[in-house]
Amino acid sequence: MKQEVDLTKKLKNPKLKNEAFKDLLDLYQERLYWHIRKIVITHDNANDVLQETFIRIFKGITNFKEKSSLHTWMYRIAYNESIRFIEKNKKNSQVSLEEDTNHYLNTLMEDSYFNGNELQLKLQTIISKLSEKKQRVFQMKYFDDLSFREISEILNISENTLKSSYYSIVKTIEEKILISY
Amino acid sequence: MKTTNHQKENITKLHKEKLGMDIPEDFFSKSKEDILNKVIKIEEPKQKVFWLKPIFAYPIAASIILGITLTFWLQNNNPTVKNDITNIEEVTEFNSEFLESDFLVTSLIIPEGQIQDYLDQYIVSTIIIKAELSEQELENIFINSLFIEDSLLDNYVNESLIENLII
Repeated sequence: MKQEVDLTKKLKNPKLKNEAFKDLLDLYQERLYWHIRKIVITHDNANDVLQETFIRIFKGITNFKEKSSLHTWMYRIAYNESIRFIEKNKKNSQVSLEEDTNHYLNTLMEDSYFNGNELQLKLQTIISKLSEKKQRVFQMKYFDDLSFREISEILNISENTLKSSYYSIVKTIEEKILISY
Repeated sequence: MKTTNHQKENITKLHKEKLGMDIPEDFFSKSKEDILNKVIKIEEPKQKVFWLKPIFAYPIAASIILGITLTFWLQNNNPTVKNDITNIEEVTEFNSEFLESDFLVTSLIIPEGQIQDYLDQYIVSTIIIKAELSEQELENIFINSLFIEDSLLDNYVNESLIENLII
C-alpha cells in the first residue's frame, strides 16, 4: 500500500512521472493485460485495449483523487476501456454477448493464442454462458485475485451482493464441470 | 475451485493452465516499449509556451511599444543622431555639403548606382539654385536702382521747384 502511495506521488510529479510510469508498467502491465484479455477474449484486442488503458492512466494520473487505491483506479479504467471496446464492436457486428454465448466461444477459437485442451474449453464454455456481470465477478475474484471491496468499487455493486453472487457462481461452475464428466 | 498463492505468483501461467490462453514470446517487454513510445509521443507536442497572465502581459506589452516609439521619436528629433553616418542616404545627405567644395573627390566616394542621383542633386544645389540666387540679386539691384533713380528725380524736382519759386 505504501509502495502505491509513493508511486502515486511520483506519478503526479512532472519531473519523476516518466520514471514512475515505467515502474507502474512493470508492476501492473501483466495483471491488467489478463484482466482485459478475459473481457475482450483475443490477444490482439487485449493488446490494443491495454495500450489505450495505459495511455489513459498516463493522461489521467494528475486528476486521480486517491479516493480508491491506485490499482483499483487502474482496474476500473481497464474495465471501462474493455467494455467500450466490446460495445463498439457490438455496434459494428450487431452481436450481443449476453444474447449470443456462441460469439464468445467463436472469438476464442479464432484467436491464434488460444490453445486450450478439452477441460479448459469446457470451463470457458461454462463461463461464457454466465451473464456478463457474473462473468466479470468470477474472473476478477478467481483469476485477478481482487478483494470484494475492490470489485465493488470497479463494478459499482455492493460487497454483500458480490459475495453471495460469487459463491453461487463458483458452485454453478463446479456442478457443471462435474456433470460433464 | 480454489487458487493457491503459488498460482497467483504467475498470473500468465494461471491463465494458460486454467483457460488455455497464451501470449507471444517476450510480449510484455515489447508491449512496455510500445506503450512508452506512445506516451512519449503524447508528451512531445506539449512544448511549453511562455504565457503570461493578462495582468502582467498587457503592461509589459504597452511598455515595449512605448519604448520602441520613444526610441524612434528621439532618433528622428536628435540632431546629433541625424548627423551620425549610419546608412547610404545619410552619407549622401552629408556629402551634399561636402560636394560643393570638392566635386571630384566626392564623386569617387559615391557608389556607381547612386552617381545619377548625386549628379542631379549637384546640379540642383549648385547650378540652378545659384543661378536663381544670382537672378534674384540682379533683380534686387535693378529694383534698388529704380528706387535710387526715383529719389534722385524727386530730389531734382523738389530742388527745381524751390529754385523756380526763388527765381
